[in-house]
Amino acid sequence: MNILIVDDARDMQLILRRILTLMGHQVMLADHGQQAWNLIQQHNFQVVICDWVMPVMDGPTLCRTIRDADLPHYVYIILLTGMSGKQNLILGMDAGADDFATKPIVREELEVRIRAAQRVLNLEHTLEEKHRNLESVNQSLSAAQALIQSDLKRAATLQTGVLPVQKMFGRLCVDWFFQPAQYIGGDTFNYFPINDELLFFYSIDVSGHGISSALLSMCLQTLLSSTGELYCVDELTRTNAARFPSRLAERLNYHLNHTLDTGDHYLTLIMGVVDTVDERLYFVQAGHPQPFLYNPITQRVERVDCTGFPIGLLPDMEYETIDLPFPPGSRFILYSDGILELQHASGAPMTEDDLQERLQALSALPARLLVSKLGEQLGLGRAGEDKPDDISLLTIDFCG
Amino acid sequence: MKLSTHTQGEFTVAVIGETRMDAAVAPELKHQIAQLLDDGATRIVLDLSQVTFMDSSSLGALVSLLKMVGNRGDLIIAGAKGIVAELFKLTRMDRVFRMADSVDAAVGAVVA
Repeated sequence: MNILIVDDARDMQLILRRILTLMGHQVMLADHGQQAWNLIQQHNFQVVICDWVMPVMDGPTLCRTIRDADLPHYVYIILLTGMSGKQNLILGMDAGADDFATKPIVREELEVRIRAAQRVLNLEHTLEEKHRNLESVNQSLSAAQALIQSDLKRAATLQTGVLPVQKMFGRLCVDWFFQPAQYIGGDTFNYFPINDELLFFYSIDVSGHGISSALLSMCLQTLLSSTGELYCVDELTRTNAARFPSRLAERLNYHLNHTLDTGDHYLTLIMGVVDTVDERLYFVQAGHPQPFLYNPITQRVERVDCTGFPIGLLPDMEYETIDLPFPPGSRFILYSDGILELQHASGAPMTEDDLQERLQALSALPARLLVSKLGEQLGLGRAGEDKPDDISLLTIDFCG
Repeated sequence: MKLSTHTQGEFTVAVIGETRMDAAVAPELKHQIAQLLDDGATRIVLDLSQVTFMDSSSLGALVSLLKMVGNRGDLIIAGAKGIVAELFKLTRMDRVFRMADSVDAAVGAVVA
């Protein structure tokens, strides 16, 4: 180690230098605190052994000067004292000394104290190194996290970008709201006309959140698009419309269980078709929240009591098409369970009954207003209020 | 995740001590029950009577455990109520799993 000896007594300097040099250390000498402080700023001393009473600057003052300075490494200070007593010990420690040695100097004792200093400095050094490592790891983690977060934000925007924009299809009027969770989730939906008489639609919720859920939902958009391979196996016509949804669900289930490796992901969906000539609604229910149907005759919003196996959870499940009258004035509302994870101001969770009541109260409004009013009531779109899950709702109105 | 297990006859009863079974709990649930299977348990009763909320990822975890059990044993769901029971019904998983009102009913039903 590099050691600085600070003492105004020449004989003491020499004794100490001899002991320390024999131990293999490099030693420099100073006559008082001020001279020592000048040397400390120029050299890299690990240990300073310093007398208490000296001219110009005494030991405790030197201690304080070292401690107050922002040196790049720790300096271990041993104060020499001829004085004994608790009071001095306290004063010295308070000034920043690490250890004390009493005069006259005993060689064995000093050797032990220097070895103790070495241990403390080694420990200090290891800690500093670990700290530096941690800091650099922390920095790269923060950078990676910032990158992922901005990527996810961007992805959430893109997720919204694949959703349909057209909202009028002859006498059918469609509208929706969609708000991806803080970090993208697996909701998606779509609808498109097959011809002037049929409108195909689906609402999907992939289980879980995050990147893999979102990618699976994107993948489903492709699979179920009008040019997708599953869809094209047979053409949707008014003749097969009553069987089409369940068959497509079975094919999709097969595909997810046998072709796509979805890991632990699966999905719930409602997928179907509106036939405006026969005035019927055909759909398949695969574990999705039960949809609502507004009946223009009773003027009531009713929950369609239906259940079904999710897609991609178990192979070879059977699905059935639900067939309901859909006269002009009807409204069909699909949504994902993200809405049911919302809470009222009171903290109580939103229930299907609450949603049904709200839809009933807003039932006289056209689709566009229904969606904006309901979205407002649910607190969607407010800046800084991220939702725990994706929120999506789709309404299909058969305008008279 | 809080999970306590005990044996009742030839059954291993696993009691979920959480009220929310969501994406934060699902992987741990799967891991712990899979561990029971690895340790040789074949007849497992999963007590969900304290659970008041279950999301799709936990349901997915339960189904993958059911697949692990396969024909070698049982995975019985006991005490599901409220929206947890509704989730099983909505997804028809009440037809896939053996469901029992309580642990005692689960153990008794199979013995009888």
